[in-house]
Amino acid sequence: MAKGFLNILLHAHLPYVRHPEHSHFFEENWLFEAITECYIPLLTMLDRLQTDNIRYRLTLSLSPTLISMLQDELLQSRYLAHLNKLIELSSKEIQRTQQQPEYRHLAEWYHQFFEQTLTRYSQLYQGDLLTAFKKHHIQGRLELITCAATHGFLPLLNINDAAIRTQINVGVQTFTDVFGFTPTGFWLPECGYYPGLEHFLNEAGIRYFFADTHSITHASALVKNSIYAPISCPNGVAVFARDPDSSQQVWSAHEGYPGDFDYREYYSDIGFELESDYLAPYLLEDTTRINTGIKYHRITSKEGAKAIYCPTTALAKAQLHAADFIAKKHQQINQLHPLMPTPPMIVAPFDAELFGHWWFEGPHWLEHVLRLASATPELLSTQTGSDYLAYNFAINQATPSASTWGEDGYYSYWMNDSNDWIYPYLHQASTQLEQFVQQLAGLTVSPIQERALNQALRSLLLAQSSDWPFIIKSGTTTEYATKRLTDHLARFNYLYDSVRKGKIDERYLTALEIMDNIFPHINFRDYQTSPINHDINRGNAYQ
Amino acid sequence: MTLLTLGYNNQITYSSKELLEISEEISNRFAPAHYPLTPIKKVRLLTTPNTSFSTHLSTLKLNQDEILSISTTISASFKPTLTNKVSKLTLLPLDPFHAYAYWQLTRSLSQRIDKNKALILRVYWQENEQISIDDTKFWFDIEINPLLSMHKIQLPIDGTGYSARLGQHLTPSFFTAFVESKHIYVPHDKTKPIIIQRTATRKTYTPTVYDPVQTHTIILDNHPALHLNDFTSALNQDSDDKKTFFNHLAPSQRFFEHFTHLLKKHHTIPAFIPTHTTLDSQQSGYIKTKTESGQGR
Repeated sequence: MAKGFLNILLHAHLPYVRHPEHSHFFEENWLFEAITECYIPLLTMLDRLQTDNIRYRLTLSLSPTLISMLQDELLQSRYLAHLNKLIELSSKEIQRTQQQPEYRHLAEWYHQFFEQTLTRYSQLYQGDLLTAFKKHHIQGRLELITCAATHGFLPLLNINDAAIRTQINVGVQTFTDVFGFTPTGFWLPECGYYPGLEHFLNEAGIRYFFADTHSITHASALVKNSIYAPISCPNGVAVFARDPDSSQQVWSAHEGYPGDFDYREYYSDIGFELESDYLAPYLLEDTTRINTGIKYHRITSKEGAKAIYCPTTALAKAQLHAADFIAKKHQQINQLHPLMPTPPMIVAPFDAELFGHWWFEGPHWLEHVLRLASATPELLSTQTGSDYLAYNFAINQATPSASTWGEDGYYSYWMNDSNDWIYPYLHQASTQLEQFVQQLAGLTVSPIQERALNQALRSLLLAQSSDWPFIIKSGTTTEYATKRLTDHLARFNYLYDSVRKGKIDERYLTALEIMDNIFPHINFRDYQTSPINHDINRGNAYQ
Repeated sequence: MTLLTLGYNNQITYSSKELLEISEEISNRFAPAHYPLTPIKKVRLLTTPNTSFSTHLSTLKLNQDEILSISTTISASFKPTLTNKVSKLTLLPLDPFHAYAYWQLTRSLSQRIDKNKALILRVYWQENEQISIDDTKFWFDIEINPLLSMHKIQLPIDGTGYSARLGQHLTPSFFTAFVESKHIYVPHDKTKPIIIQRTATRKTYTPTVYDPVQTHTIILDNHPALHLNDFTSALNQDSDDKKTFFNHLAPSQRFFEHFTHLLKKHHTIPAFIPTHTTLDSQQSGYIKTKTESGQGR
């Protein structure tokens, strides 16, 4: 057994953005950019590690909204259109930069990158990235876990049990329907925990989850091994806490690896640098400048002109940073090992979209971290939460402290002066549905009433996404986030009102089912405070 | 049809389609850990995105314009509104020292409110749910603009429980509560351990008069590896003896200390009273307090 364990988790999540009511929709690019820059590069990396027979363990959390979007035929076809436009633009760039050899070389590099991405997506993976990830799970290298249904921020939805139970159960069910097995671990949206949440996780069959550092350092009872071993909640669900050192090395804007001067500059994009007329076919409605994904410069320095990006140098730097990361983990383990009765586990969770999208060289860094870790198995071994629990080490029992991985470590990023107005509406809708489901217990509903109520639940879940208050607070696409939130609440109100009044317009209902086509097997009757029992839901008809 | 809805009956005959469904379901649900790799679903890569849609639940087919029109109509006609069929006060924990309160009052209750008097949000220190709100000994009042329906509350101590009532002083000595919240619990401040037990030579405080009801103990061994990260900040706090001492106190004493501090700082009178308080009952000790400014909506 190794002296210590490294538990790296990537949490892959995007809000559900799919607009069939429009031919093109800018925010759908979030998914397309993530597929090109993050998910396919990560899969390519996993494929290489498999080819080289590298032994590693890595955890990947796939959110139910992301799972649903990656499966969606409309988004798949739109992604292909998006990728073909990038190939076209990079071809144009090769022509435009004929007289600038350094830029032309990079334009060719991008052209090849997009061509290879297209080949992998359409031919190797046949548009099915989920099966590609599942392959690595089956082969025993990747552990797939999931998250709450629409990434609802659970601590602030906790005014009734139905909201929490449904977010967790629908998330687990979506994952199980797609992958064919139940996840063992769970990523709490925004790492947001409150005492008591573990009861719902246990009910859903979850054995462990992740939380922030202070969830363990400020737990309800004595914690002997600090954050370097999980603790067990009183009901037996284990919690692994984030190692702040590992986060700092990767996340920190100032000290973290991604800020290195050799790495690609995310904010230097030709979409904002070249003439509008030239770029028009690739801009938003031919006029509004957007990121294209073609970026020619490296970070260079905080001020002054940006130097040209050199992929070879950047990848070499990523390898250097991987070696530094592993050396620091060795050091940490050597310090901790003599003090602990069990091998210490260093938990390093990250947003998956950091790797490739924000930090272009991130997948390369991760690949070398896993390669280097596998080279010293007696000292450090990459392990997942399930692996650790399988050792059956004695675990301290305590209730973790409320926490998130957001600013200040608590809930203020998701509830503050900019976005506090949303909660009375979310809570009201949640209470209305919960009470209505209670009233319907023992009554049968007609097929169209059932469709309307299931759709009302989809609308409510989509409104509950943590992404909307997050975006409103961060001040990026606030108009879109506000519209999405209010639209979903309006759709909920319409459906609730329609069922109550017995006047359901099937055209309207169908339109809503087409637009918000997530969670096909959802059952409105599951939105209840007590654990689910379908036997009581049959009887007289609801009028 | 699913396996779960099937009862055992050897007289049942199946079509080939049904058998395929059962076969797939068994494979899906009961395959061993290392089952054969099969695609999750057959992906049909479309080169041109659809512009007209239907669902498997409906025979209706709608085009983009129709869907957009319905979406726009619903958004315009069913904008979120808050109903006031039931009066309620909701308290949400935010961080160790803050909570949010929002409230809705029924029309009839709103009519009872004296528009010339401030609304009062009375926040009770209620260490746990087992303690009745009427048995709590500490509370403080916040004046609320009657036009508002939400307020961010600054809390005096971390790692304990609170509840609240919203009401008015309909006469100078009567606090009439209109609505009461559920109990909430705010976490401990992550920047400071409650108690530090060490084998090092540094001076430590031991609670004597007040038992540390909340025993959030962190053991620090004399090894640098366990002093990493958050522990470092904990050690640094020893320079502030007063602060460390404060953290050793039981919540009730910390509450008391906090208000004594407020009293000295703001020259105002603290609003804790060690008396029994009840809903709609006369309060002999109502004392107006200074509240945080600019926090409410």
